[in-house]
Amino acid sequence: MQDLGGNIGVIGPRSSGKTTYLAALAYWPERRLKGNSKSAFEIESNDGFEANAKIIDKAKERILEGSSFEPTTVAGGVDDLASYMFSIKVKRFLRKSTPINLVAVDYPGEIFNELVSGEVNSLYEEFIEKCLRQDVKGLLVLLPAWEKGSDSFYEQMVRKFIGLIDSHGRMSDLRLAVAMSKCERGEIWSGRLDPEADLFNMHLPETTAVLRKKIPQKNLEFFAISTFGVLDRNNPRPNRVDEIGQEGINSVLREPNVWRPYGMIAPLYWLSTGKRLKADV
Amino acid sequence: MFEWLNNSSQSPQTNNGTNASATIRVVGDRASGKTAYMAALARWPNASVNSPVQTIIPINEDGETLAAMAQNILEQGLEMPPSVISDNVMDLKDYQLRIVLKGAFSWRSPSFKGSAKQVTLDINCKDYAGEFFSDLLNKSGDSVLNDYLDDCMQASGIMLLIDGTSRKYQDIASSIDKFLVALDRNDLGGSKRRVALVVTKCEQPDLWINRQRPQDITRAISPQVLKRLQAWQQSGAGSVEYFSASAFGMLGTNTPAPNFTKIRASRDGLAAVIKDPRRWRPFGLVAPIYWLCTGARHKDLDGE
Repeated sequence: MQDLGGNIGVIGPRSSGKTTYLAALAYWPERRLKGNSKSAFEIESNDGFEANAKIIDKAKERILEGSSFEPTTVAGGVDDLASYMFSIKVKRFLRKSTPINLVAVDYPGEIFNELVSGEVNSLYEEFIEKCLRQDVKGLLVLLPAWEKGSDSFYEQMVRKFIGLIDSHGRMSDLRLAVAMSKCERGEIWSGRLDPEADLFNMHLPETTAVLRKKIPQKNLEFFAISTFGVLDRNNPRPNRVDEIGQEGINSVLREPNVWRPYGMIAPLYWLSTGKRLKADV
Repeated sequence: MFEWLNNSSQSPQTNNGTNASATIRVVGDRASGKTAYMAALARWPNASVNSPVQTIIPINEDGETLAAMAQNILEQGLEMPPSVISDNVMDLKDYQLRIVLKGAFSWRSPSFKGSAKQVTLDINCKDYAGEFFSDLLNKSGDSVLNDYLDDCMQASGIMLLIDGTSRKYQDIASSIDKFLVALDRNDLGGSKRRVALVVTKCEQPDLWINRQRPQDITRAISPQVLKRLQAWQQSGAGSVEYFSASAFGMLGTNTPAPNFTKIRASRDGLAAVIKDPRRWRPFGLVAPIYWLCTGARHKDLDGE
């Protein structure tokens, strides 16, 4: 049987929520509301794998108790990159579906910030090399900012990165799932239903345009992700409290018992299979 | 003692099965896992009941040594020490192993079509110190190196091991280049040489995930290596197949996790020990040998 899984890189600028996203993915299977989940997907976190077990512990500490994740740095080089193992499947009525195995790697945000300043040193190059290697199926690109001014920064970053995709010979076979992260924010929550139109075209038109122009259509999809989710259908306040900590803002779940992340798994499913389900959730 | 050894050497043919054999050399860079591979093979720990492999038995003293190394080093959670290059190639251990595959599985493989009989693979195999591989680059013309190359020419099958975690692709590609050139200087008296390229340490998640696509892994690790091997095959010098293997294996079946504890990682690759020796089950070790012996791929061994 063909295993559709593969290596997936999670990239994006500093503080785009990459580590929080991966921690939530790892922790979610333990916390999900049994029988009350409307998600079309199921995810298993492989806690037999040390990295998963570690990040689950961190997730408890951070997402529940609110000390923030330290920035992921380049200091240890590519050998210290954290990868996590997951398996996802689509829930099907009375039918067994095949699990898809994934290995997701958490890249340091500074590499992508530095793309804009144009400083690519050899350390960064090793990371870029790894995330654009032929055995990487696709990348999840997290972009958190929608406010004015962010578009031109992202546009430069994305343009530079597309140049690297090209020089590594991956223009035709690397999938890019571009997602707006932290979508529980009131201003953009309603945009989640049609992220391409209501988040990307609307708030990041330049970035969206350069992606569409350069990346083959079949390899590009737009998503909305909220790791924290909102409180309730009728109470769409973010299920997140921001606390000012030593290193900036730390985000915690406001109501851990009604934690419903949004759109976490759909991009991974698309990156693995090239298929998108109608309901992304 | 060792009565079975005498019996088996008197009648190498099993009663009603198919027998195939090969003389193999295992080459690869330092720390690419050559000795761990051979030791894990000789030990064959915790075999799955679903495995197409029935037994693996060492049939000479050198083979016994291998199995003992597995017990005394790998199973103790220790690191395999580097093999030291010997000045005299005649001193090299020649491991003899007999691998018996269950009959029911063999019908699927084309070369033994229609046979539900046991398949026995007899191999004798030498594993070269990794220095040999780097010497190819730096010491051409050296007499010891030439002795090794001459010895290598005797082999019908070469297992070329590439450490999937190493980033010394350029050096590896150049060494392979030199090696293939040397191989081409000697023909095997008409029969074609087989080179099995095996990516090792495939318990690592980013390799494991693509283990069923070993050629793709090879391309990802080093497009040059793949190109060079393809060119060699196209030149008619011999045939190449690609494999993925792990001497350490995975733990668990539904959501398997790699059975390793990292010691250190660098550009030279990952050094690790077995995390849980009691549940140690390597994968992919027999598939290349089957191909080297028979010229056919074995679907179930590939799918391990």
